[in-house]
Amino acid sequence: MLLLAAALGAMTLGGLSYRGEMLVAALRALVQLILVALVIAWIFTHPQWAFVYLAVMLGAAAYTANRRIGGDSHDRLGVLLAILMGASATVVIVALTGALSFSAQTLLPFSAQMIGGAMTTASLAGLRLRDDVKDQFPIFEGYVALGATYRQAGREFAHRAAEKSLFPTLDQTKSAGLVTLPGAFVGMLLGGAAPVLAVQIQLLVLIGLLLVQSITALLTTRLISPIDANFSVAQISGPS
Amino acid sequence: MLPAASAFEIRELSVSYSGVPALSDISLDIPERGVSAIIGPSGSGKSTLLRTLNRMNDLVEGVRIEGRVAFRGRDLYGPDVDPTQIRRQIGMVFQKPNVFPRSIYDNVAYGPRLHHQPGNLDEIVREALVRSGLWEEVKHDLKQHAMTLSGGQQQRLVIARCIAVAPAAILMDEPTSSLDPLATVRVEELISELAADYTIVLVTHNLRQASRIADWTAFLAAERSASGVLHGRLAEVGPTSQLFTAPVDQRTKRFIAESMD
Repeated sequence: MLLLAAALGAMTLGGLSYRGEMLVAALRALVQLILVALVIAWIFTHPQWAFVYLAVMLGAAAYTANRRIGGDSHDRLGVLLAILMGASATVVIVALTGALSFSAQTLLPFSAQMIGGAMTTASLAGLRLRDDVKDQFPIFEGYVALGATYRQAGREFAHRAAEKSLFPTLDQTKSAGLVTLPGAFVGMLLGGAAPVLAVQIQLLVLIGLLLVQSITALLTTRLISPIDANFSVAQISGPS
Repeated sequence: MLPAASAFEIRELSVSYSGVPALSDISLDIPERGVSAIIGPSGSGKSTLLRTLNRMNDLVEGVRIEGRVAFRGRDLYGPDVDPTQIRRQIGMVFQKPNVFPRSIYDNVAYGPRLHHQPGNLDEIVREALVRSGLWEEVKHDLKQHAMTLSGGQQQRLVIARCIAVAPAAILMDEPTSSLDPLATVRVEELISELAADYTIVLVTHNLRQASRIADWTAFLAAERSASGVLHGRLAEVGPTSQLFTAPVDQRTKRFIAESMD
């Protein structure tokens, strides 16, 4: 509570907006984490329910990312597919190679973390795609005027948007241990694990996220519509 | 009017954006081949009219189009019409040259590749560049980035890109407004040459340009609606020489007198 109050105080002093959103985010996190702790404890004793938990998480991730992008229901399906493919590719490889033991205790938190990473990337990639198209609308129009569908025209922007959305993860991976101590590593150390084991798990998470996010970024930028529903006349019509 | 040889038939066309009128009750025929110019003051909806001719207005959320627009007898807004096919058939050149961020060759090849056009791609690209008068200037630099060309060359590249998909008509939205006088002359010459084979519809604010290169000219007047919004209405259409020397409508007379001073 003291940390949250300090964060809000800092934002107020600095004149930053989104204070309300931060407060709501913190309270949501509190409530959600308490509930999640209870649910996960229950799932560990009833592992057959793990898939239901992951499905709900997947739906929530797709909903959240799509809302951030400003997408419609078609886009949401694309985002869902992008997150699902990215996360499941990684989890399947990790499970099949035995990098993590095949149990709800290991695969559930790992999958959850992968879905979370995919959600962030889907938001970033989708937003980047739409911003790029808006910024370079005359070029987008040029493709459309030659008979390209909006998706075909968007594909010309998708590649770059996917690349740019990976920058944060690449930076995070490059700077791991130097500039920041990543979450899983810190969590395991705080939980009393040996540093070597913590590093192993952290590497699995970081490299896993690279795969998740590459796939999710590629698919998101290709599956969602490159233009949103909020286009104004001013962006289209030149002087008449 | 030339109904027998009309490329475009526009009947009682009204266009609005999110309920705000831009064009009201336009009925107009645009003949096959040659250059037809659309002139008029700001707010008369010239670009809007042009963009209804190849469904580029579909890109605007909230656009509402009433009336009928047909190309060679086919309703462009019919239920079974694929807008991408319309745009392939009716090309468009914009105010500012919007070259793609890729090589000169790839700019011209984009359309033919997209549509899997039959024939030798190198030959299609060469022919389009020859037709646009750019070939001699760029034939040794086809792999060069298109952004390295001058503004006038970029606009001719955009025209080449448009020709490469073999359209039947080309819509041009103030194609020389961002060019210097010399580049403007080159593009105007090119438009006149292309008019032998294509139906060209040219929106221009430059009346001298219309009088130089257009065979037919339509004048849109800007009217203020009860709510104070400017929207376009067709005032007069006819052979360019007639419209400029002996306009019938008072609004045309006044506009030409003011603009040509």
